Amino acid sequence: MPRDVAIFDMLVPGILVIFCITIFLQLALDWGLGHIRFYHHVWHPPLFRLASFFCLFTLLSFWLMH
Amino acid sequence: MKTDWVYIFKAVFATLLAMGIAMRLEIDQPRIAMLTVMVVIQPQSGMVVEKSIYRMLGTLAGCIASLVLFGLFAQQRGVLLVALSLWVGICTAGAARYRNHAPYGFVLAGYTACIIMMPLVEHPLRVFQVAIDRMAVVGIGVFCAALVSSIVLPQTSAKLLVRAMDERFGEFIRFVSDALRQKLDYHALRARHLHFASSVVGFESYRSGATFEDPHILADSRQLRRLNADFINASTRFHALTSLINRMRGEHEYAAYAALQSVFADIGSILAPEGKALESQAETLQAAAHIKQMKDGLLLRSVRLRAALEEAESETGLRDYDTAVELLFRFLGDLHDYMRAHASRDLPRDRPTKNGNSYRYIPKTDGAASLMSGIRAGLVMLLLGVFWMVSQWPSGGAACVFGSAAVCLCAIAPKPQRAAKHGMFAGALVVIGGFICDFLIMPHIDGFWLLCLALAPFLMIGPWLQLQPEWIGAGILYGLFFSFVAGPSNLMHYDPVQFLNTMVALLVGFAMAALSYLVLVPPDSVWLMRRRMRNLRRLTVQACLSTREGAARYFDSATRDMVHYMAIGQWSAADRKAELLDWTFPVMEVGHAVLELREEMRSAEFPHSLKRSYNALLRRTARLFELPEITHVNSALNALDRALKATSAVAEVSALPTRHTLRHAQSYLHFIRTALVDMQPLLAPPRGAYAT
Repeated sequence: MPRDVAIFDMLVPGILVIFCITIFLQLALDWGLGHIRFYHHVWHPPLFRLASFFCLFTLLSFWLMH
Repeated sequence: MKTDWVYIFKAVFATLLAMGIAMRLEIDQPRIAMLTVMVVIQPQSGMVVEKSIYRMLGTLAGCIASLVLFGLFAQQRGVLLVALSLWVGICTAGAARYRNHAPYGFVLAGYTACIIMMPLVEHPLRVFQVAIDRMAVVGIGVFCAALVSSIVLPQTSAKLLVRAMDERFGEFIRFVSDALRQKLDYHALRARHLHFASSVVGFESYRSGATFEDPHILADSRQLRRLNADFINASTRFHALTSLINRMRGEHEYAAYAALQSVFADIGSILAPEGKALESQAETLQAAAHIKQMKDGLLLRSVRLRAALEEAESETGLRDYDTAVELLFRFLGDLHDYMRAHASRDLPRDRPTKNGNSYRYIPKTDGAASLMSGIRAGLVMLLLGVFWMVSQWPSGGAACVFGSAAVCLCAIAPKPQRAAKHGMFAGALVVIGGFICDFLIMPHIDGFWLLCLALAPFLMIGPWLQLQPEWIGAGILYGLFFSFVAGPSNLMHYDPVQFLNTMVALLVGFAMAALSYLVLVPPDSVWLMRRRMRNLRRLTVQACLSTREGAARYFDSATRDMVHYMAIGQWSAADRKAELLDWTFPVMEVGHAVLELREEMRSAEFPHSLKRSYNALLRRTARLFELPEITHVNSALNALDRALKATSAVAEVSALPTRHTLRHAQSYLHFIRTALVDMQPLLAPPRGAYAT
């Protein structure tokens, strides 16, 4: 179920917090994959990165929200 | 020029997508999402992401500022106005101080506060809700812009970066071989040197854009920066070499110069075998290997050539010759590094990145100039606000918003005055387009798709203008204000009278912005020009006296930034630019040679007894660049001659490693001497009006 998180007494939707966390996870993933030059083997790197971002986001949301 | 229709359609698509999402989420003002897209969208996706990040940060800062300001001064409208003007001024000053996309964040912080606060002056309690909404809606806009520009037929900065790198390499190699074979005259040489110096800055901006879109570029970032640094080294050295050669050609030491010509011809034939450019990686690597061989054999060869010269040449001639050989030797080393770095840049981890390169240069504009931009923006805001309060004009708040936004956005344009004038034109277009769209078309349409269709042609004008190099600023302003004025609200209401009032406010605001640039210390005023000249010369003063780490790197980057600025900045009078340019070369030559000289002085082999005369020389050179007068040139030249004499005397009696160091030092001293002699006509009376 959706939960709100209080940051400085301000109620923030939990999903927003997860979204922000996912951004950092994705950046870490990009950094790692960039270093092993994984994206040379991908047809459309931005699309791939967007997709991986949404996979991460969805997984994380399901895991934390249930 | 071919118009990039793909980009225009992408921009419109992203704008409408943002509008659609914002409407679907029933956010109060979908127009803010549209406006955001219109402002951040650019042809290259990496730059969009970079700008978006600054936009988010700027909006956040602006929202917080408006909360704080309302919290403090909500009851006192006058104080509130002064505080807001101050905030806008500070933000604009920050924006004018930094380069690339960071200024955008500052500008946003300034005018977001304005946009939020002005309509709420009567209802300060709603500010929190509005600020939250603003963040959300900007987030949607930023997200759509980044998404569309990087997913749909992306046009990457990385590609541009690679192309720019290849082009620059080809051009530089061709330039070197042409210049060494005397195919270029003095003016062509100068123009090319300036072009390369300014290209360094452009390269860095592509690189920083590309790191946001391509994880590989991010991984290679250090290597790329290193490549740029290699290029700076090679081009600086080559500049010194060509200026020395030019002087030798112009004076009497023709024999010394003729002796070197065979060496130059050989280098030329390595770099452009049979008149063709180096194309493949293998060719480049091979040429680099040849250059290295050439460098290793150069000293022996030069000794042989010198033996033949010794009878024919005077002492100065021989010294010129020695200096040229020394410079050539070092240039070949740098060129070899650059060629190898370029050829092997996409081979992963081919070359270990060298350490000691951690210094990063952050280009900044002169403090006084950016402070002036801040004061100007604050004053515009204050004047419009006072007018609003005194006249009780209902649209006064809107005029404040428009005026401050225009003045902030113009401050970060390369040519603020022209941007402000173009802004007026954009404002007129917005009035006409907005009226047609809002009152002649909108009432007749029904449903989201028709709305998109109706808005699209008007939205296309913005990106189209943006693609015209002269009109970039106007394009952004048009996109921004058209979305703001004509974009739909979730609950549309038609009120032609209020629309026209807002339009009058818009024109008044823009006119104020344009006027402020013409009246309040225009960016090309004599005073700012003088400051710029002094800052340029002060770089050499710093090179002479500064003791801090990484002084050489700072000097190289700062001079290039100056050159780049001169290339893009606004010049109402060509002679001022010419005068600044006249100083650029002495500053670059002397500054760099001084830094190299100090590097030699720091080595362990450098004899202690010479330090005094060298330090005296450094002090006099610093004084010369602080206060350029003919007497100071002469005193610096005297110090130089004394240092040269002392060096020769010490060199004769010392052992090999010390002699080696001293030979280097001698060549730098001689080079500085030739540059100072060249400066004499610059300072001879009658002096130019701005050379204070």
